[in-house]
Amino acid sequence: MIDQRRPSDLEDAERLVQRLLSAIPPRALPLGFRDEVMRQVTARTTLTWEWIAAAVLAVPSLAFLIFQVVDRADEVGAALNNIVAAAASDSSDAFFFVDGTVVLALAILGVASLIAAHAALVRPVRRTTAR
Amino acid sequence: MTEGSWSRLGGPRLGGSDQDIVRRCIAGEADAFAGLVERYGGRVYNIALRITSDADAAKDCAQEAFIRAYRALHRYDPTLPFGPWLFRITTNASLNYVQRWHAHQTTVDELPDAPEEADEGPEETAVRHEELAEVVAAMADLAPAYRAALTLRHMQQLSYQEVADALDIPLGTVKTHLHRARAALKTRLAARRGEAR
Repeated sequence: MIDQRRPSDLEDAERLVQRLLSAIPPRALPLGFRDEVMRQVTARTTLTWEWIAAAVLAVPSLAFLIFQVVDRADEVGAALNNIVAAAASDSSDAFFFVDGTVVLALAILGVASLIAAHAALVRPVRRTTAR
Repeated sequence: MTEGSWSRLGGPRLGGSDQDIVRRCIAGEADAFAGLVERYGGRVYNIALRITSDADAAKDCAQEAFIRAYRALHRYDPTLPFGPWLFRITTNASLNYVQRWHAHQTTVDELPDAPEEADEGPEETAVRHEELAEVVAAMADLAPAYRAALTLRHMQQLSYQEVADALDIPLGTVKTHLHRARAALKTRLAARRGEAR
């Protein structure tokens, strides 16, 4: 009978080791292996979309906020000074103006941060403890 | 190796050819990948097991290999068989693991129960099991690169060229590695048997 379980180009010098090693029975896959792999595959696909959504929300908001800081640096500086002064003294006459779009940008940035945090926390964790 | 000869060595042809499944995965049908995990899971796990000599590490490496393969499917050349490509990723993941953790635990007792030969009594089965355990232990003593070469060649029955592809080294180096690995394995086996007497 021809042994099917051997390389097609087996040489004579290899026959002994081939006989020894091919006799070792393969171990069965751990239970749930396929499901675990598929869970990670689909989780990664979902997470990729979460990262994309977070980026789509965060980037325009960040760009807008940076533009605001650069364009109205003096107003931002004055507002910050007022806040610091109000915190340091008993007077309550601190005045600063916050644009509605800035609040909206901050809110969108917050939502983007939540999505990114979720994606970062639920990503499949590979067991890498030292053995 | 042609796809036909690969199927002879590989698992069942359920769910279409490997290339069909890859095409479906790339088209966004992630669940189709389960077919490849089903088909190659056992071989991938056993390659990782023989290289890492650690069942838990092998499970991790096998999972990582499949995840890496899934993410790299768009780089897979469908004119080539899928198995050696996947085994290459598995070997890399396993060798990386060994380098990272220096895991070199010999687990002689992890040999699974082999089906008894029809004409073998319990005593012969026990002796055969012991011999196989010695081979596994001797193999675990070898350098990881030698373990990888021997596993692919003699346990997964790959040709020299496929082993070279899987390990990403020249054909001549594969032959040298295998020659040295076989010699080292024989020396360690002889030493173990000498100790046992």
